[in-house]
Amino acid sequence: MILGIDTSSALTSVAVVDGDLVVAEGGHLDPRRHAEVIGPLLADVVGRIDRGDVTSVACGVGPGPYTGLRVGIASALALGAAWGVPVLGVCSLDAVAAAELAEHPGSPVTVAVDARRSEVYWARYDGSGLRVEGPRVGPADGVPADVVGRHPTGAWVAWRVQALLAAGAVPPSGEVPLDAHGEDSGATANALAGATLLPPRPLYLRRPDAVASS
Amino acid sequence: MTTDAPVVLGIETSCDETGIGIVRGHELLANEIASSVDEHARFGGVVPEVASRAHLEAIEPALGRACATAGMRLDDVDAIAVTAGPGLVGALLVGVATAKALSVALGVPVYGVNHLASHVVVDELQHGPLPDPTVGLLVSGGHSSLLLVADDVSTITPLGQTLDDAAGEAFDKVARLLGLPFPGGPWIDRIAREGDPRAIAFPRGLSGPGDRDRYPYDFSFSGLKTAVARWVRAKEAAGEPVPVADVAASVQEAIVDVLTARLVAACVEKGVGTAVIGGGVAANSRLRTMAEERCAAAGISLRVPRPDLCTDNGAMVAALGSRLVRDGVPPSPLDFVTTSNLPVTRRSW
Repeated sequence: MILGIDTSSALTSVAVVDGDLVVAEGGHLDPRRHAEVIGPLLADVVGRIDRGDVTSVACGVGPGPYTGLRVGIASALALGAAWGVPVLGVCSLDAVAAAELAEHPGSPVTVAVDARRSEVYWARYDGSGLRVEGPRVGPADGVPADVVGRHPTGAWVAWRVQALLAAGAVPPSGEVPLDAHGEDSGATANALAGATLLPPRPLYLRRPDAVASS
Repeated sequence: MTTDAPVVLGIETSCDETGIGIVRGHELLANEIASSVDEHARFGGVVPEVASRAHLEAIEPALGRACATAGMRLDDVDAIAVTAGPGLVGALLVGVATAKALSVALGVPVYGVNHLASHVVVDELQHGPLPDPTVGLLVSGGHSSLLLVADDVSTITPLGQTLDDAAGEAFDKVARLLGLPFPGGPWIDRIAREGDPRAIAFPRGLSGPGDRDRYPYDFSFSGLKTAVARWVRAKEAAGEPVPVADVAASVQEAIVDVLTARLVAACVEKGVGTAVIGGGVAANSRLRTMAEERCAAAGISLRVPRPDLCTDNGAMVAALGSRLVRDGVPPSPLDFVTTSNLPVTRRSW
């Protein structure tokens, strides 16, 4: 069983999956209350399973608004530390693409979530579910028209991890394929193509807003 | 759980220190701190987003180190305590999310606690139970508060606070004017030893006629910063060298004079025999000396925790959590909120 968490959008979502089954699931839609609602959601979901059956914790590592995103990743890290199980990350947009592909096999899709400041985080996928562009952050009007706006969920994040593990993906070592600010670069493109498990660290895509003093 | 000596894990992420502490009753078992202060230096102050990112990087390794130092596993913890405010919201949320998930994963209660109260109660780890009542002076880069701590540390009454800059912020801003690195407090302290504290009579905030009645225990440091800036500019305009050591010593004297005068006044007027100083500025050597002299002269017993318990840390959070468990206070609900300016009167949520 894999416990999945995603807080990269306005939805705080927690689920436990076992094969194709969702064993327990809960969610709360509110862009500003991730840290409040994550506690009761976790308590409810964990209360419905035998925690000894959880073999890993999956978390969506964004991209998404930072404050909420960090809530899910911090929670996943704490669960992993408490239970002694690995914490594995996947790009949250990949989870949405996988959900779309399950419903509309063979259709290319663009996935986007609100990045505030009139911008969106987005990525584009081909008909086989392979990420062909992104994740990026930019103005909403620059995104391809076939955009899907559904929220990443804990269940789909857990299923992505389950599928990648089944395909032989190895958990990331201490090496992180991103720079300190989680910025995409040529060297990280392969790691980000969606076929690799990511470390449980946010895909920030933007540096902090701050100006060095003279 | 042993309620007379519970094992409590404390999490502190309200500013730029990621702190994990573990206590058993009053006994300190571990106090791991990861600071992002170096990352903020080039910005001349704490950048909230930089601090939040650093907390998420540091928190899980710090948990592991704290358990190793305490010689225990997370399973051995009886309760979790976490700073719920006041502080930088984005930074606080990293600790709060961690605490809530640990609480659920381990099946133990969680307490969202007051940062300011933690700074006072931490002294119990070093000097034993606090007498009742006690006056706390909390001075750091983010806070300058006088608190009356009564009823066995269950009632915390704010007596006064800064109306503008915090004392540590004033040190940082003056240091920047003098071309000293961030954080400026330790630099001012060091350089002031070479200077004359009476060289320049910088203003003491809220010391004018009428201020004493209107703001008996409040502070104001923004005028001091302006006065220093003006004084330094005048020197530069006159083509004269700025006597950095004298300026540092005189500024430090002005800040420390006001802090200690208000602390002693609060103790005397409220009939309190014990004072505790906490926060990063408590490490200032002149503050310690002057507070000792003035408290001794007024017959007040002064308690100052050692420096690693004065700056933000997880042990202070664990110390307050331990206190709450022992007092039989109900844990916080799992959906407790985090805000930047929670009222100081409550020690937990």
